[in-house]
Formats: sequence, structure tokens, C-alpha cells
Amino acid sequence: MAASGRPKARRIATRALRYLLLTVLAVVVLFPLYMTIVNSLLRPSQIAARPPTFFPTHPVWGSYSDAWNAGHMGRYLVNSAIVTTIITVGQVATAILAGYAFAFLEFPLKRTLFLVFLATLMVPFEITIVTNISTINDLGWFNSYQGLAVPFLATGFGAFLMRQAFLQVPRDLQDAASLDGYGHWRFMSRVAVPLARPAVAALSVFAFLGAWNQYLWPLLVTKDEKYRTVQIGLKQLRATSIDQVNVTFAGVIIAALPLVILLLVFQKQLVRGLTAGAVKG
Amino acid sequence: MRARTPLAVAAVLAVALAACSGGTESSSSTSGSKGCPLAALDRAKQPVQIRFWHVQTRANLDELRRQTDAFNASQSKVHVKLVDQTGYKEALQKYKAGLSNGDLPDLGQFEETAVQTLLDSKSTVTLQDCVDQDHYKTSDYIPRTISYYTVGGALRALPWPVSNPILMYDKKKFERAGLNPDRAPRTLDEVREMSRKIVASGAAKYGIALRTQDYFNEFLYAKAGQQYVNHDGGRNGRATKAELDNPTGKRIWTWWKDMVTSGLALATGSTEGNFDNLLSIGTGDAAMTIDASGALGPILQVLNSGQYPGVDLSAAPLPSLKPGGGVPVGDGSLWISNRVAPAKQAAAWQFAKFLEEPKQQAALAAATGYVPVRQSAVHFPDLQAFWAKQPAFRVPYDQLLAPGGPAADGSVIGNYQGVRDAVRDGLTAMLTEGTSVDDALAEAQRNADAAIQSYNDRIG
Repeated sequence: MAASGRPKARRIATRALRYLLLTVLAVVVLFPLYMTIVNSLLRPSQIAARPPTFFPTHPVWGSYSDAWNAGHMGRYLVNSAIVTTIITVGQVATAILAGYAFAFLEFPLKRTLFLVFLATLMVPFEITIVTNISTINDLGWFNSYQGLAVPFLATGFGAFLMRQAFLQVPRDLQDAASLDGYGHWRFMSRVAVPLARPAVAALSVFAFLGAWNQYLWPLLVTKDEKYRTVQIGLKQLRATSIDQVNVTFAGVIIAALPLVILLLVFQKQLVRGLTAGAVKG
Repeated sequence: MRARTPLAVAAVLAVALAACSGGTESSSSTSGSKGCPLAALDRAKQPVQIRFWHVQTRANLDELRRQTDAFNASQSKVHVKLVDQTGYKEALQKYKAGLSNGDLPDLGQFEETAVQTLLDSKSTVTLQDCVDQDHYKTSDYIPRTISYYTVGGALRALPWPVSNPILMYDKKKFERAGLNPDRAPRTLDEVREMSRKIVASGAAKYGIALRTQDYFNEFLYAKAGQQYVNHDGGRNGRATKAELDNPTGKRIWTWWKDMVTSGLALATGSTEGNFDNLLSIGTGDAAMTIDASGALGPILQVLNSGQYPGVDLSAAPLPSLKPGGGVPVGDGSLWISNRVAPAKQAAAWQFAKFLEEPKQQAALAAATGYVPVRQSAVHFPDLQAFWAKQPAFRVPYDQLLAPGGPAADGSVIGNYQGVRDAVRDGLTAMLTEGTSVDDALAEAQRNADAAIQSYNDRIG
């Protein structure tokens, strides 16, 4: 850029300052996570000690097996993975279809319907719990994967997000595509969705996090260990007791680990999706 | 997170209310029973499976598992399956939701504050019927554990497990302050006097660490003989108003405020699961604190780990406004649902009786530090040995046995949590925001009244 005209030293100084700032922010963000890991490896009395211990010289790994067993983590992680996958895929699929319809199709009551979609954003989840429970119950889905996942397969937020993304797609592309004989389906899958990739990525992450971190709903619609999810397991390790806090910390790490792994694995796609869209759009 | 909870509770309450109106049909299909169907278990051809919703954790859960296995192995008519509901609030929420979708436990463990809500759900067996029919003797129980769960002259639930708040203090710091280490303060005034000496002598930075815990305040009222709500604590007709703002209340709240503003007490906040008050004894910040007797085991374990040499933790009854007085029952109780098959109700009664046996109560107390609800439990060698080694664990038992007036029976309140929230907010405003005692107490009274009122309006 224009920086080429500047003296080199100044450029280096700017860069150093920038990195320093980023490092400080990274430390601020990562420190609680680091202390969670450290505390999960300490004995409870060390956690209680003042000044705090910042490095586990004699790590106690037993807290992880304790958390795994006491929190039924094996079973619960599988349940969480299944439910979260269903919800994420479902939410993205319905959001793309609904968003496409609102962006590219003309049909009666379009505006009104869109407002109805938006209105669902204003209703807190707690308000719909009551009706959702009776519905799930009448369907016979109590204590099942359907009961856990189906109420979250479509969201007004997803439809809104995808509509906004699709509105950025130039109309000329649609005209060109229809001249090439593309129908709606092909235009959506070959043109619109690839262009809206950043929105799809953002929505996927959002849906995944939301589903993974659910607590109240899974607790209410499950009957026993068979269908419970990982956040309930975490609550079962509750830290009201000072002599077991390390186990709770270990449970937190176990519950968060899948998210971290997923982020590391998909980081490339995520970043590429975001930047690719940014350049093209 | 915190802000969402009331909404969630309101929503689930609405489920419960919807269930109340539609509940009659479902109950008639399952049982619709009045009374206690003891004979149904004898008629059952196969072993009766029951589900026990509990909220026990860790060491407490280990002991419950052990006792449940022992029960299952001891006979072939009843098989108990434990279901962890993760916490008292969750258990009650789930129970309310269960009233509409039928996911109800045969036996449930609920908090001492849930009495009125469960009675209003009309979904539980009046255990007095079981007691009468089974000729079950309650004379061996600590009287207050029975009177707490007796409403309208009939026993509604069995106490299990029981704990209550006590005073914990460090004898070593007492010695350094020139105080008699075997003489703990009995009244709030003595707490103030001794705190003054502790601070002046430099034995600790503060005399006492006080967690702004709403239920400690309840116990202080009860021990002072002051009911918390009208209609004799809600036991002589439904409670319609709180009784927070009165001369006794003013003296108690003034004590809270004076202790903190004069620098004699360290206020450690109201966050749940926060144990800074306990740690402050180890770190030397304070010489005393008040906490649930259930916290004794864990804190002793931490203090004895060698991290804090020179601390000798001891326990004493909760100090009161004036000498004497008794404390109510705290913690859990066992409820049997009347929406399940009669044989399951009868089976739940058998298991509840088993958990209440002196032998089981003694084992529970020795393993966990809970108060044994049966007086004959204290004769069991394992409990005697445990108490001889750790005399502090006997304090909550003796304290519950000590005589007290009607206020010591505790309160029955529809929206108990709403009243607690009002008290907690009032205390917090007074201790951290400089609100005056009069204003804080008046505000707490208003909010508590509103909470009770709105619950009563919904119940109708």
C-alpha cells in the first residue's frame, strides 16, 4: 500500500506496536481458559490457596476421569454431538431455503410473512417452552432425539440472516443465470449460496454453539441419562462443594474441547469462506 | 443468565398451572387416589420399579448409591432407580413440567422451600395417610423435622436429608485475641464484641465473614422468635404477607449493617457456590463465619490439607438476637407422587421408610455430615466414633433438637424463592450500596409481599 514511502523503521515500530496490542488482548482472552486448565490439574486446597497457583507442578490427572465418570460424559457427549449436528444442518438448510424465498421470489403476503418471521425473534425462548413441551409430548417425542432437536430446526434469525446475504447478490447474476437456463434450484445451489458463504459459515457456527450450549430444554424433555446432553452433565458436577472444584474445572474443559477441536479443524474453511466472500462481494 | 431465570421459572410455573386445571383427567386415568395405597404393593405380581429423583452429589451421592443398592438387594418386591436432577431448582422445574407431560418421579427429593408449591400442585400423597395406615412411629424423629413438614395437621413429606446453618470459627485466632477458644459467641451482640477484640488484637483482619445469604437471615428471624410470614408462618392459613419489616427485623438488619460498616465483618457477596467466607478463615481474613453445616466436611478437608497451618476449626450453634431459640429444618424432603400407579406409591413409601431408618440415618450422617433425623441414630457406633473425632458435626444436630417457639418450625410460602430474592436484594443494597436499614427493609418487605401476592393470585 502507500506505506512503501514511509521509512522502514517506522513501519517496523508500527507493526511491533500492533503485535504488542494483539498479544495483550490474546492474553486477556486466553487467561481464564488457561486458569481453568491449571485449576483442573490442581488439588482443591491449592485452588483455594492465596496467592493463586499459576502452574501445576504436580498435575492431578484423576480429576478428568472423575469428571468423565461422575458427569456421564461419554454418553452425554455422543448425545450432544448427535443433537447439535441435526440442529446445525437443519437450521442452515431451512435458513437458506427461507432466505432465498424472501430474497428472490415474489409471492403474496411476502412482507407480512417476513414480518412474522422477524416477530419470532422478539419472543424469548422461555415463553415458548410451555407450548413446545406440550407439542413434543403430544407427538410422543418426549425423551428422544427428535424432541431435543426438532424445535430448533428453523429459526427466524437464520432466515433473516440468509435473506440479507442473498440481497447482496447482484440481480444481473440471476438474469444471466436464467438466460443460461438455470432454474431457482440450480441458481440457488450454484450461484447464490456460494456467494453467501460467509453468512452460511457464520450461521453454522452460531447454530452449533447455541445447540451445544443448550441446558434448560434438554433437561426438561429428557427423562434419564439416555438422552441427556453434556451441559447437564456439567451441572451434575456442580461446584457447590469446595473439595471438588478441580473436577468441575475438568468437566468444563471436557465439555469445551469438542468445540475447540471443531474450530481448529474447520478454521481454514471458516476463514477462507469469510475472506473469499469478502473479496468477491 | 441470572436475568433469564425468573422468566424461565414463570414459564414453567405456567405449565404447572395449566396442568393443575387439566390434571384431574390424567390423574384419574393413572390412579386418582386419595390416601395411601399400601396394599397395592402386596398385590403386585412382579417387582415394582420406582424412580427416585434426587439432587445428591459426590460423597452424598456415593452414600445414597450404597444405601439404594443395599435396599435393592435386601428384598425383591421393589427396585429403585436413581435419577439425578442436578439441583433443587431444576428438580422442581422439571416436576412442574412433568405435571403436564407425565414425566413424574415416584419418589422425589425437594428443597424445604417447595412445600407450598408442591401442596398446590395437588399431586403428592399426604404421607400422614401412610403413617396412619402403616402404624409408622414418628416419635423417634427430631420433633422439628416432622413439624416442619406438617401442614394443616397432616404430615406431607419426610425430612431427607437435613442440614442447617451454624457458626464456624478458628480457635487459634480466638486464643490470639485473648478470648476463650471454647466459648463461642451465643448472641449477635457477643459476635460484635468478640469481633471487636479480634480486630483490635490483630488476630484477624475481620471478626466474621458474612455471606449475604438470604436463608441465614431466615434462620436469624426464626431463632429470634419472629415469624417470616403471616398466618403463623403460613401454617395457619395461606401466607399473604411477609413479616420482615418489624422491630425484630430492624434489629437483625441493623446488626448486619453495623457489622459491615464498622469494619468488623467482611461481606463476601451473595453469589451461589461462593465460599470466600470459608476460605477467609484459612487465609486469616476472618476468625468466624456462618454457613450451612453441609459445608463443614469440605472446608475441614481443605483446612486440614496443610495449606493453612495453624487453623483449628470449631463449630457452634447459630448466634441469635437473644439467648436461646431454635432453628428450622433446612435442606431436603421426600415426596411421593399420587399421579403414579398405586403399587409405585406404596413402593416409594417402603424405600422412603428405609432411608429414614436410624441405621441409614446414622450411616448418612457419618459419611456426609448431614443431621441424622432420628434420635436413636446417635447410638450407632459409626456415628458416635465420627462425632467423637469431629465434634463440630454434632452441633447442627444438637441445635435442631434445642427447643424453640413456633417460629422455629419455619415457614410455608408459595413463592418462597421470591421472598428469598427480595431479602437477598435488600441485604445487598444495604451492605454494598449504602441503602439505609429502614429503606432496605421496607423495599424487601414490598418485594416479598408482591412475590407472595402474585403467586397467590395465580393459584386463585
